[in-house]
Amino acid sequence: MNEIKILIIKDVKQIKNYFLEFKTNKKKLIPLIFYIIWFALIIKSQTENTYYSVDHFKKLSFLILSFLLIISIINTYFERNSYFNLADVNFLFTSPISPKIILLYSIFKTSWKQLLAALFMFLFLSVSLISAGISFPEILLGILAYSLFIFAIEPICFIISTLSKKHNLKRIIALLVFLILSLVSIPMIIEKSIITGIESNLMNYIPLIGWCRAIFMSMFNLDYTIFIYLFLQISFIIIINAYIIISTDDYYEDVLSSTENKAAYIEKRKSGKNSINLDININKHKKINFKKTHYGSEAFHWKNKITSIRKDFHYLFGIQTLLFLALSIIAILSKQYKFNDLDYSTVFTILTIFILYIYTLFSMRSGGQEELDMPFFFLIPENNIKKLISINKLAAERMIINTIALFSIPTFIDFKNSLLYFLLFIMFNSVYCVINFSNILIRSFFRNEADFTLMLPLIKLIQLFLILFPSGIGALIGVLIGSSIPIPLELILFTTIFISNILSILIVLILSDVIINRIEL
Amino acid sequence: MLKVKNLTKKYKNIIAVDNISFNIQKGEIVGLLGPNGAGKSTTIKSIIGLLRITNGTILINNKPHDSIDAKKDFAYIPEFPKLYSNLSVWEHIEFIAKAYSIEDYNNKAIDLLKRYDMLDKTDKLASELSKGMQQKVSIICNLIINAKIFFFDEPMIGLDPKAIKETKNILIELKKQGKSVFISTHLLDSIEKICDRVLIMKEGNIITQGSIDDLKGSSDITLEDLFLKATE
Repeated sequence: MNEIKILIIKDVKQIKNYFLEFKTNKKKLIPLIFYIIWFALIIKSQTENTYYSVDHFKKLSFLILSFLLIISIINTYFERNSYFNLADVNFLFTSPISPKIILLYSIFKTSWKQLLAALFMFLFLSVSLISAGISFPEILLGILAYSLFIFAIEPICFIISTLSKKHNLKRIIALLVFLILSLVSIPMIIEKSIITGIESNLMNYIPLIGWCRAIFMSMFNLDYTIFIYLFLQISFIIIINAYIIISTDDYYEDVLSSTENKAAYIEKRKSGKNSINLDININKHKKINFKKTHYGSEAFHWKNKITSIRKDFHYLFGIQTLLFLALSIIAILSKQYKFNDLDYSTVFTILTIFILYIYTLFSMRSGGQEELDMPFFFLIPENNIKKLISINKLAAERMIINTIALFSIPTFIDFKNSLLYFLLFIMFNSVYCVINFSNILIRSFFRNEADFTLMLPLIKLIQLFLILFPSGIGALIGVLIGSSIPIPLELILFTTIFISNILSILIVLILSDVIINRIEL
Repeated sequence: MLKVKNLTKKYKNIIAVDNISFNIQKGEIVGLLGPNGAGKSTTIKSIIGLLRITNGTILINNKPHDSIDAKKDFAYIPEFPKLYSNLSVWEHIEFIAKAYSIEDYNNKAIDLLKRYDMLDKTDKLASELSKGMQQKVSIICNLIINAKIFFFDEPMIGLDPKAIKETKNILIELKKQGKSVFISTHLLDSIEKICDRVLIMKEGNIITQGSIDDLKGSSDITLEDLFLKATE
């Protein structure tokens, strides 16, 4: 008990210090205020609109549980999940505190953290849940279902992580994920529909996600079967924790690399460098030769080509290209199999906006922007405009290939709208370039790393504004001009957005000396 | 104090440490030298139980190296200090004192904080400290432990000259107190005068070991010359 007490005291002090720091470091309040405002706005929008019905929650619950399970297993598989941090490795693992106690305490702590996040989510949804006719005790039942899910999933991930290290069971884990997906797809196949399949009671027979879903569903329709699923789920948690207590003593090495990976990931996320990472590293050890034609600022382009080919099929295309192609095929099929009533051009316009939105959220300071954290970017004796173009060139070239993959099929199938797809293509690439160049602007506003880390949410908001504002002005001008010209409105809109983006990029390039001189390392 | 016999550590097909054996006596300072990738950090991490050994036996004070009893007898100062970002310097010391059940640590901790010029930073959070300061905290935390053997993995990296001097003095004081020290470093000048023995590793093997005087023989060469010759 004394050992647990030591661990609890350590964590309580950390939490206390976290809040006390607001007193001394006022900048830390900025993201907090930002989140509170955001939270309040969403709650307010829920009170004004009742978008959701019980049916929505029924479908969503199962999808969320499945998604969380798969994500947890994938993170464990790729060694991004760890209950520990590097300070634990240095201080706790070498201390005379029992490894079993350290592990169980850490699993329990992580589960509670997840649970707190879940409670926050339920609080978030509470207005909609209540307006959908669900009472407070029923919401508590939903929280119980989610808690039981979390308390099972964390130990499972730990077991997967240690077993895969000791016995190289990675293929078996992949098989396990495949098995879960297969089990989930059975009710869909039987019911011959994804939606009816998700709603089917057959889903309840799937261990863990199905059982928790059944408990969750009793929030809407309480009956005695909840006790069966409660019994199954609680037994599962007890068995899996008992297995950990009995079998795990020697796990320090197994968690070392995942702890290091997690620390690196957190570091990246804090400084806004969590780019969309689809690296497959297939040419990791391959010797790569490019013609020696890259001198001066072009050295950045050469370096990006080398690193790109190490991570992907080719320096110009790869996994992302396949993903764009897959999205295009899915969009076409969804139309052909009548999953939606929209025409091709609308589907691809929505898809374009969605992908760009995701890029804006996740690609902050990605790719070439990391150069701005390296001293050699500033020290290489070259023109700043050339250097900026060089660090972004390959990303732009790759995106052109990706968008060709995205828009080629609809251009052939729906040829009458080929001009629209072409405009979507150039608008997409211009917005992508604006995203990359706005990163440079942002970096010069928030001059040092510490400021950038602290004010990331605010920065994201400003970046969105920077991207949208010129486009918005362009769109407005387009609408004003378009009203007097007999050309479809969307064509005018996309063209003016493209022109305004190009102007924005040119302005950034012209001001590059001023911008770059503001950046501090 | 430390008995390492036939220690082998493999990562999949790579042999990081290949069947090495050595002992460290009570009150002895032993330096572990070697080029990058020689297996020094892997050796230390295997001894302290952070890595699972593939083969061999390791005893610390005659206890299995990964047992709780053995952990009470050693302290480990890592190459890259990682602290709890939301704990202050003093709270780190308190935490270690509690974890190792040390009661009379106050004076010792204050003395160490003074020696490392950290006394005015006891209330600072780890996140507010520079890397060098974090290394100092890591050293201080481990020096308050009543250990019988201290493992230092590149402790001088990031330290200012005064702190390096203090660390060397502390190593000599530990030796006088009958404690053993096993130190891995690239700063050969720093340890030449304080080490009783050195082990030189290359590609997972110990290629040379012995006292510096014995290894030098009658020739007038430095430890640096000796190291370069051995690892050629």
